[in-house]
Amino acid sequence: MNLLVILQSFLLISGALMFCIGSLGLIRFPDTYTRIHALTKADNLGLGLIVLALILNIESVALALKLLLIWGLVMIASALSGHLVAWEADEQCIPLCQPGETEPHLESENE
Amino acid sequence: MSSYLIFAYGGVGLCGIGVFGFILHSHLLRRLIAFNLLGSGTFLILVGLSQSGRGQPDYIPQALVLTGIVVAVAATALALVLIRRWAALTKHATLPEDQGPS
Amino acid sequence: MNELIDLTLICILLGLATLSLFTQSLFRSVMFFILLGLILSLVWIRLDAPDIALAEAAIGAGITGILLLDALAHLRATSNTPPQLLQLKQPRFWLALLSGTGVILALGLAVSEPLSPVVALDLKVSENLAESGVTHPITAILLNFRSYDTLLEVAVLVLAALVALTLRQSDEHPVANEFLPNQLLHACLKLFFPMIFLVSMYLLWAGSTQPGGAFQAGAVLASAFVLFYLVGLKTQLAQNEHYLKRGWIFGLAIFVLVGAVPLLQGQPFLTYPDAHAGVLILLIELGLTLSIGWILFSLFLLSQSASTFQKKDTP
Repeated sequence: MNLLVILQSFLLISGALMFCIGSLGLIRFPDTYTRIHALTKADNLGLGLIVLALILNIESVALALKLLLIWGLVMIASALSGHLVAWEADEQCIPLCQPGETEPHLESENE
Repeated sequence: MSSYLIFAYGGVGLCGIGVFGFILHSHLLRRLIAFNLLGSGTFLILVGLSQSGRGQPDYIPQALVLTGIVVAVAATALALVLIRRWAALTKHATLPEDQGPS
Repeated sequence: MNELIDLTLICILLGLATLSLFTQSLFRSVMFFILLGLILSLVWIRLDAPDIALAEAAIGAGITGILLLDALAHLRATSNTPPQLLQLKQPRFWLALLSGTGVILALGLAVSEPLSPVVALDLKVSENLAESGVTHPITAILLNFRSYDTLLEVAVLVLAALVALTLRQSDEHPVANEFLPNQLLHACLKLFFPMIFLVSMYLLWAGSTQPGGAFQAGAVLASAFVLFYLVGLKTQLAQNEHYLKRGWIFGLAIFVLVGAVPLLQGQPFLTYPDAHAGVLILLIELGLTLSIGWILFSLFLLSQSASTFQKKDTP
């Protein structure tokens, strides 16, 4: 078992772990805004780790650049879609959730 | 059991669920979803079954399924046009025989 | 180990199918259906069919999702009673259960029968691949060996669009373009339209040697058109019926023209001369991509005008 395989499996496992954490956040967080936060950040990092692990045993430079391009595009797309969801939620006056609450309450939109 | 055959059985399951939902529901959008499930199940059976016989990728059913997916999306779009027109005309998203005595 | 992945995928697939049919909220059921499309594209990868996986992700999950969500937003006004599920006294439930299990039993029996290959068609494909002008077998089948299928398929698409057009109210003023007034979306999309077109053309170009082709490229192009529409850029072209129809016919016309040229030399319809087969296939695919993208977008547009019908008559 050489060093490359160990490094790759470390990157792949931590990438998958990031996806798990992001999904956990999606389920556990109380309101729309914090859920977007969990999804757009943790999943991008997870995808980045997986792309890095895949690049390690690619010989052709073009293929490696393509993978990096995919990562970059997914990052921009998820930033944009996260922004759009938050913007639309704000337009529809979906209330924020205060720390310690489990359900959003309706008065908080005045703050 | 080869992995191709597993997916053929998965397609059988999808077809069954699709038929069940198609008959049970009266809302037209849900019926459309059920109908699409039935189609996806058919595609899975077609490719999975023919590849499990040979044990290698079989390109002819794959090309047919590719054609089928594009026709399915055209049919779905047309069905949605009809459903939306019907809903705009009658203010109902169900057919008259399903609306009951209301 | 591999079987474990397959079985997990099947369980997720069947679970999502059940959820998409039997959740109370219609929005959730559409969401579960889009998710099901994404999982299905993973299933196609496991079935060694990357072409179908691309098409399923772009068309099955993408375009169908856009159409369903858009319809859902406009169907809110209709009477939408949540489904009264599992009413054991209704004969309809028993009928549905009976037919569902009947279908599963019959198909399961059919699948478990061992299959005896009668004609080894795949051998013929690999024998004649060198003469088809392309090196990717699926493109060769779609555009050379079985090009009648593809021709008629595009005709079906044009037909669907025509039926949708006849359902539009002609004297009605054009649909208001309800775009999203978001600055960041405008800025990002202006930057990324060239990229989307590039991806679409790359898929088309790659189709002759590796997975990809006119259908996937057309779906990507259609998504670019839908984004154009969402940010409120020029869509007056789509309001004009003549441009609309010309766009639909374009791909079909190129296909028929290229197919008809050999008739002059006394050869059957849709035979390509061996020396130029690759170039001709690429030409046909370019026409098909543009037309499929335009047809899918106009179906989206026409389904919007279907539900604005009769708004002015309501008191």
